[in-house]
Amino acid sequence: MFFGTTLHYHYRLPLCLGYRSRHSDQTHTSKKKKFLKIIMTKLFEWLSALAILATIWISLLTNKVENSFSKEHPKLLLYTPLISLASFGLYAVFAVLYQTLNFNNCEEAAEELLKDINEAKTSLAFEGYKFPERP
Amino acid sequence: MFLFQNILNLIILLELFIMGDANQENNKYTILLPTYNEIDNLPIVVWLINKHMTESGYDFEIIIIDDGSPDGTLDAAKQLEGIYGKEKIVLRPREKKLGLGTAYIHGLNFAKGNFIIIMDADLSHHPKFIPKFIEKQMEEDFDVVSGSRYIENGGVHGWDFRRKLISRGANFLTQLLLRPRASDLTGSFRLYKKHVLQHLVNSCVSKGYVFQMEMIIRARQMDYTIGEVPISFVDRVYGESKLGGSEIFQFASGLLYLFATT
Repeated sequence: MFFGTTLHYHYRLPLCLGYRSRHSDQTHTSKKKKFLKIIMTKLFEWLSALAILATIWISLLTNKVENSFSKEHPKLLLYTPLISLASFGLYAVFAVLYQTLNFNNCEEAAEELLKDINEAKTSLAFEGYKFPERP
Repeated sequence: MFLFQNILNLIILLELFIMGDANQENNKYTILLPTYNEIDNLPIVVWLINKHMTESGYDFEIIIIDDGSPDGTLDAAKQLEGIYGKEKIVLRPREKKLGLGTAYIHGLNFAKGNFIIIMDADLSHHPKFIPKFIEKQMEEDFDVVSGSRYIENGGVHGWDFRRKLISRGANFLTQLLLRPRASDLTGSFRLYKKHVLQHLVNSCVSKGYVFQMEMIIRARQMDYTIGEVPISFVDRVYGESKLGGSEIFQFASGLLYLFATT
């Protein structure tokens, strides 16, 4: 029923929290057959991923899963979420700064546009376009 | 019987020939130009579109949708209609400012082309890119071709550090939260197959420039294929461009809306 069965994606899934409906008509979309896939909203995807990570963290922390790591570095394990959040924040700041500083300035495009504007004005006037008078 | 089959074959061959021809040659590109107070920019944009489309030999028309500009943009458009003819320049004005989304729906009703190009009429989008959009579309028969400032060879002109930082930060956040597989969501220089645009416009509910974001996100959601072309965005030469608190608020609420619903 579930695995390996080719079903078109317009197969209706029960509408529950997080499932978005696909309002596409068949005629305009891709022709390929697709496996049944669960379509989640981005919000729901994030919540699921966070829930999985939280489960792993808590089970390690409370030693539900036997392991030597949580015994040897209990502090490190406790602060793992904070550390990963901080390092991701740092990465984000540097990535955005890098992209900002390397954002192409397009000086040539601006110069070319000015030339084009002048050419257009001359040509339009020649073709009989009357530019409105400015006060 | 034999003769009958031969004739039938001939008819089929002929039909294939005609249809094949139609697919190759009879593409028409409709350019939608919604305007509001663009009296300085409109004639230049139209002149440049005409130049680049004529040079590359594509069949086109320009639909100008003026929302009752008080500066006389409509009169300028009428002059242009006189110069280039009613085949090329189609005027479909509206009484008052009614918003971008409805302007596209309004323009689409009159579009004769099988491809629609959407761009700003304020010269920040240079018409020289239109032939590149068309070539890109033909490469892989894309449903949508989107101009992007954020990919290699794209860029912006006339933005200070603050503006660039906000733009890049917003883009980073959008890419992280929505993973849209398109690099420029708020840009509005795009080419669509006509039926695709009709479908998208009807399923989008946002207003303002969040509308552009929703269009490309929904396109992905509906499995339409998207190609990208690098564009250089030159900030308004005439007139003022704005980015204030209200734009940022609009963007943030749009992002959250799409995050929770798509």
